[in-house]
Amino acid sequence: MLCQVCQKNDAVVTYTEIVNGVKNEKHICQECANKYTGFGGAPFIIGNSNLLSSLLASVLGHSVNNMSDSGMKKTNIVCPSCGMTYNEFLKYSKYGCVDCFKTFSPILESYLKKIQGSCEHTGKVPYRLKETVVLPGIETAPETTPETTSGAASMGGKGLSRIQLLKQQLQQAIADEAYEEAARLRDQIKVLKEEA
Amino acid sequence: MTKWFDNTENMNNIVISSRVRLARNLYNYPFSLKINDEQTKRLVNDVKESFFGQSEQAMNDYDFYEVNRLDRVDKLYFVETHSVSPLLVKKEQSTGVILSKDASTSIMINEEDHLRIQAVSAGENMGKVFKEANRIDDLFSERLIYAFNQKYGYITSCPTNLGTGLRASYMVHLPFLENEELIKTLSDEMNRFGFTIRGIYGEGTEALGSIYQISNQKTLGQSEEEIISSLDNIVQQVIKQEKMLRENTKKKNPLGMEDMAFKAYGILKYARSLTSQDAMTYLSRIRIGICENLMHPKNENKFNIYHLMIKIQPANLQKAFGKIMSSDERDKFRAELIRRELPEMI
Repeated sequence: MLCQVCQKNDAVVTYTEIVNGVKNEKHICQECANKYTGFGGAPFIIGNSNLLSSLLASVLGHSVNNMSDSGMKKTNIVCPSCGMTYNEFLKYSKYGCVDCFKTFSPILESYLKKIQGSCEHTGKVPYRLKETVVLPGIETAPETTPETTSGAASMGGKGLSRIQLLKQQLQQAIADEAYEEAARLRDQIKVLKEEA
Repeated sequence: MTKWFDNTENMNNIVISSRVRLARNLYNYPFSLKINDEQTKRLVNDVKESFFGQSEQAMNDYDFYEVNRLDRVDKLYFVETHSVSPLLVKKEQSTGVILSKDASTSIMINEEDHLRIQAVSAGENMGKVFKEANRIDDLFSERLIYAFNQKYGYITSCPTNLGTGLRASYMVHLPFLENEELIKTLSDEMNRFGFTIRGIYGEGTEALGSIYQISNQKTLGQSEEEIISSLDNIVQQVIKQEKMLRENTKKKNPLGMEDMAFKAYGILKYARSLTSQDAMTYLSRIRIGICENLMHPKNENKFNIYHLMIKIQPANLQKAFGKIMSSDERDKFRAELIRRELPEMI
């Protein structure tokens, strides 16, 4: 495959960028990768501080032996809330906050399967609110129906569907600890989803 | 009040205890890696308030400790009795534990996750402890907002706990499997099914007195009940193997096992200095003698060997004698305590 940026050299690097939950993958050549990412082709340094982090690092394809592998994926993601970087996440194998979970989950989906064997929770649900950490619609965002305008989240809330608007209000209500309001919004969303 | 490990029923079997842990995080605080000192103080307070604030009964049945403010011996004491984890006492930030009077239920605050709800019971009692942990979890979820996602379940600090956040474990006494060097093989087998076996004080600790912990590793994709039921199956298999080895040894050399238990008894009854490691090894042999009906404490109802194993750990020992001791002194007092507590055997 040719590099998607310069269209000259062979693409050797997959560059993944996630902005407001919208995943964007580019296959690019080494030269463009250097320009594009600022990594300068330098390999990731992964601390071998604990077994789990090296395990996680290895399932993520960044095993230490694999450093020079030209097919290695490069990512440059930072959690907007707590400032945790993808490298930091690899190093400690821990999320810094609920937003990290949203930030890093899109790239982790297939790998979670490797550590956990599955990605679908089938157990208990908390009593009070069904869901407090809503993931942005990674897969569906770019090609949605006219009703759920694409890229809405990144456009500062213009042209939101009613459900999305309610979801935003729900998040706000939870943040404000206005639980009765949150419960009401949740029920409203549920009804709307059923109607759709 | 008597502690759960004082219980003399159910105590002399291969399974020593059953434990359940639920990892939970609150929606409105950063996780352990990114939480700041000020936030940890508020977190500890929020959790404490939500637990004690709405029930008088809770005040009577549970105690709260500011773990980071405890002295070193008290911290270690709680680790040795499994009320808190080694990680919790290492933290300098604000940390807390809500502990039931009988020490069977503990809620650690600001460990790797905001909440670690634990319930434990002597013997094979997984159903009971799961029910108890679940009850505490329900209670918190009525008052606090957990970080939860429909697809991934409870959001935990470490991806290895995502989903149910459940760790169910059995503490088991496996001297014969250990002796045959079969623990490693078992461990490899278990890993294939998403289970793990390790030393008595959890991750990264060696097995003292042939006591191991068997627990689930995977937390996502299966319901709590399914995880527990698979663990039960695995543990039943392990028990069967250990029993078979014991039976074979008894058949081959009927006197040998009895002799081993009584020799250990003789040493413990007269020794003047004992390291933890030695004491645990000999107590483990006595435990075999009792489990296999080869030796009988004269007053059977009063003797619980697992409790004695806890009492001889460094911090428990120092608390019992009410003073800080050097390692040599501890060995001396450990021998003294064991001589005093070991009942006459017939």
